Formats: sequence, structure tokens, C-alpha cells
Amino acid sequence: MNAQSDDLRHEAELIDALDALERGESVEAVLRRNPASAEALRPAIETAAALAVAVRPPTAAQVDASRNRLLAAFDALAAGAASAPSSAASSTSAASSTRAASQSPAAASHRPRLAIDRDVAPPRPMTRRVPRPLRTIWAMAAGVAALLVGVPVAYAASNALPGDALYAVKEAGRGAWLATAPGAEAHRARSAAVSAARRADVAVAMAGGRNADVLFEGVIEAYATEWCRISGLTVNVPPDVAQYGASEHPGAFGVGDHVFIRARMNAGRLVAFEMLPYLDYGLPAPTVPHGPADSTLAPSPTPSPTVPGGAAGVPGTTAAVPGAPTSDPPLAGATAPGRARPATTADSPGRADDSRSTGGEDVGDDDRGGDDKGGEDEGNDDKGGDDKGGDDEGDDKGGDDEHGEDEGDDKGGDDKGGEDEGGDDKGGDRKP
Amino acid sequence: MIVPVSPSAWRAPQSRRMMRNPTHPERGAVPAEAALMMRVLAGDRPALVEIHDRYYPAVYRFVSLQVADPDLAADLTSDVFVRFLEAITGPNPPQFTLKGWLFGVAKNVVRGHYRQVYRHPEVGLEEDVDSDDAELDAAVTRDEERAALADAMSALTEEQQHVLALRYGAGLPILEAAETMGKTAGAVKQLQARAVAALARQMTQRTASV
Repeated sequence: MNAQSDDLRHEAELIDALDALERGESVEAVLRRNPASAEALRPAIETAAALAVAVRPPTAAQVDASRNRLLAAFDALAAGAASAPSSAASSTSAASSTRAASQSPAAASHRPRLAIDRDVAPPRPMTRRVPRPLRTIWAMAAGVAALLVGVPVAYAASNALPGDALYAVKEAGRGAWLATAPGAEAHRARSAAVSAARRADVAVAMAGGRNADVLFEGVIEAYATEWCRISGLTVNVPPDVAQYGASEHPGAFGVGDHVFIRARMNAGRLVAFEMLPYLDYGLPAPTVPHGPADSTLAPSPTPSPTVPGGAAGVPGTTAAVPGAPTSDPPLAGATAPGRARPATTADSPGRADDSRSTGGEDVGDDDRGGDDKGGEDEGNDDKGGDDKGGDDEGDDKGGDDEHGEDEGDDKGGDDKGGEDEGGDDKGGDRKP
Repeated sequence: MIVPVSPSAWRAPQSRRMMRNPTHPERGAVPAEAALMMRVLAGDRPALVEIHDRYYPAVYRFVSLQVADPDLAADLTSDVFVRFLEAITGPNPPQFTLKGWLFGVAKNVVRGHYRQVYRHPEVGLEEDVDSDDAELDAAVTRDEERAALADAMSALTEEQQHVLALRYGAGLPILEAAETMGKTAGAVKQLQARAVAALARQMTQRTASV
């Protein structure tokens, strides 16, 4: 440690001494300023002084000889340029032609070169050229190695889900596929497909109970306090996230908005931590008219919503979203229970809900293909069956629930007029 | 038009340091050497002569500090300028300061010379001439000292040789040497001090061995 500090001190003294020498002080004067280290400094100071006087200026004859040689080379170049085909044109295009000539071996032969009498060999390039056969072998080996590694990785990545290490590879592949789209139309189509595939990945990952950060985009189909249904995915949107950009975008986000979501997937729920307006990246324009967020919408007393199949025009989102929270509050794409909703709000043509809900409510999960007329379908899956006039707050799959109230599971059977509360009516007919 | 390269192909030779420094007095301006370059590219013979005469002495001193033989130093210096002429007609003309480019080429030329000497060593003839001329004796002594210094310098690192040649040979001030080497002034001072100390050690060892 002491030796190191001594070296540093000595170096600093030497730097000061050299500065003083350069300012014109004599060697002895410089050494007198550092009596303690004069002996240590003396060799270096004397060497520096010797260097300063060792340099001699060129003689006039040397300068003249060099100038004449340079001018002779200049004249030779001028003569060569005048006779060279590439310099026949005297316009400024000569510059580009010369640059091209320097790149092309055939044309380069026409470029005037200076005949330099080289006493000194030109410096070698920093890198040595590899012989051609060896380069070919290396290139082939690299290609084979890339295939051996790349193909299994690409295959494994095709099955990756958010949270997997290879998901980035999958996303990169999608990016490459998008980037190679031939034309704007193809790009739009591919972009829509990629968005749908991304949402499908999220849905599958949620079903598997993964915990990961995910990123996707979609159209807001329904919107209530702290909850959003975005192209079929139900997302918890905390108020601070939902209010992002409210100053530039009055009302923040609303139904029909095309948004970009970053969310954390945890225990089968999606909690957004970033929600941004998704600028035109090729997805079809939303067909739902823009509407403000209905933050006053009261939560459903029976929070068991159904999620519509997916956004129209976006492929790959038709499956029910697995892992959708069963205690989600109702969403604002439809009105609250008991409130008649105009058909244009959420059931407009092209929207995700394939069911025909006339005047009644379809809040929550899937009501597919069936008719919900006048009644309320607030429960889970009413698939294929008809819910006419009555309340279907449970599962009514395939059967008809007419006039009565089916608050339990009515699977396959008919519940006409009576009330099936809580019990399961599977397969049989319950006709009061 | 003798050199088929458009003057516009020559970028105003602002150094990296100048470009980084927004308050540099010459930033954005076309320095005198850039104007000279443009004239040379336009085929102006006097401009070429002006460049040669302006920089020849400094390049010669730079070379002669490392090559003791004055005639050889003159030849090598002349090579530097012919290479300059060749470079401005080629695809890679000097991009930054002309002075820095010339010293860089001079360094390569000297290095190439020593590589050649190493591959094909030549044994000089012993010339012992008795003389009573004190002035001649002094000149011979100076030449011997120069040769010893040049020989000792060849044992230093390339960077140390370069800084000594720039500072004591070409006589560049600290700031210009720093700009030419792409270093800070403090780094050049430190490098110079270490180079001088290393050279002093080499000289001491050689004296002791003799």
C-alpha cells in the first residue's frame, strides 16, 4: 500500500517536473524544487531534456526533395486520371463512380493508382484472412450448428406460455412473422392473428394457474369499476391504472377502446398494472361505438359473470376464458340487473356475444347461441338453451328455462314454469 | 479535376473530442485544414504543396525521434505524404483531423520500417575516423545520443513511443497530443511521465551494459 502511494507520489512529482521543464526551467532548477526526490527524478528529467534537444529539424533539401516527389506523384495521378475511363466524365458523378470502382474489383482496375516506391512494407491488416476452404467449412459447420440448436428451440418455443423462458423466442418468431408480411393488408391480418394468439396464450396460462407478467392487446368490450373485459379476457383494472392518460383522453378508457395491457397473472386472475391506448398496429377498428366508463355501475348481487366468446374479427378468441374469476363484478358492456339495455350497447352486430338477448340481461359468462328473452341470465353458461322470461342465474346448459327461475344447475333438462332453486335438474323435465 | 473524388466527400475534419464538446471554438466551422483538403480534392496543386510544407517539419521531427538516420527519416516522412495522396483518392480518406491522420500514418510507417529491419537486418560499416575537429566530434556525439535514444525508444510500448514522438518530436502541446491520441490531457501527461521514466530506465540499462 505504501509502495503504491509512493509510486503515485513519484509519478505526480515527475509530471510536475516535466511541466516545469517544458516551461523552460533548467534540469537543475527543476531538481532543486524537489530536493527529497531529486535523485529519483534525475534520470527521467535528464532523459526528457535529452529528448527535447535530440530532435533536429529537416533541412531545406529534404523538404524540397519530398515536395518534388509528392508533386510527381500528384502529376502521375492526374495523368492516370485523365486517361482512365472512370475519370473521363468531369462532372461530380465522378465521385460516386470512383467509390463504386473502389468496391468493384473489375472497375477497380481502371482506378488510377499511385506508383509508390515502397521501401516500407504496408502495415498488415489487424485480422488475418482465413483461407477460403477453411472459411467454407466453418460456415457450413456454423449453419449445421444453428440448425441443430435452432430447430429444437423453435419447436419447444412454439408450446411456450407466458412465464416460460422460451416465450420470448415465441414472441420473437411472431415479430418476425409480422415483419415479413407482404403488404399492409397482410400485415393487418397477421397482426390480428398474433393478438388473438397472444390472448389465447394468456387464457391457457391462466387456466394452468401460472403466475407471470403478460402483455396483450384487445378491445374493451365491457367496463365497470375496476373490471374490464378485453376481447374476451376479464381483467382487474385498479383505478390508478384506469385513470392513466385521463387528461389526454377524457373519460380515460371506455367500451370500444383499443388498449394495450400489461398485467400480472396471479391465481387465475389478471390484474393490470399498465393500460395504454393501443395505437393503430393493424388490428381491425373496433365496431363498438366509444362510450365512457360506467364507473357508477353497481356490482351484481350475484357476481358470477359470463365471458363472451371473443371479439369479432379477432381470430383465436372464441373459446371461453378459462380461469375467469367467478366473483367478478358485472361489467359495463351490459346494463345492470333490472335495467333495460339498448341492444346497441353491447349486443351490437359484430360484438362478441353471439346470444340473442332481447331486453333482458346477459351479464357474466357465456350465453351462447341461446335466446335470452326478457329474462335475466346472470349466471354461468347458458349454452344453446332458451331462457325466456325467467331468471337463469345458474347454469342452464342445453335445456329450456321458460318463465320459471333457474338459479341452480339445469343441465340438459327442461325447467318450464317452475322454479329450480339450488338443486340440480339434470336430464329430467321439471314441469310444475 | 485530377482526383475523382468530390470535395463534398470530404467531411469537415472535426475531431471526436471537438464533436463531443459543444463549446469548442471550432465546432461547426470548417477549419483551415478542411478548406485545404477541399482545394486538394478539387485538383489544386498549390494546396497540396501548402499541406506538405505545413506539416512536413512536424512529421519529420516525429519520425526522426524514432529513426536516427536523418536521410532515412526524410524518406519515411516523404512516404507519409505520398500515402496521404493515395489515401485521398481511395475509399477511406482521412475522416478526422489531418494532423492526427498524418501522425497515425507516420507511426505505421516507422513501425513498418522496423519490421523490415527486423526481417532483413543490415550490418553497418564501422567508420572510425580520427579527427581533431571539435565541432565534428560534437556532431558525432549528438548523432550517437540520438541513435541511443531511438534505440531505447524501440523498447517502449507502442503508445509510449507515440506519446514521446508527439510531445518531444512533433512538439505538440498537451491538448493537441491528447486530441491526436483520443485521450484526455491528464491521461497524456501520465502516459508521457511513464514513458519518460521507462526510457530513462532503458538508457540506464544500456549504459550499464556497455
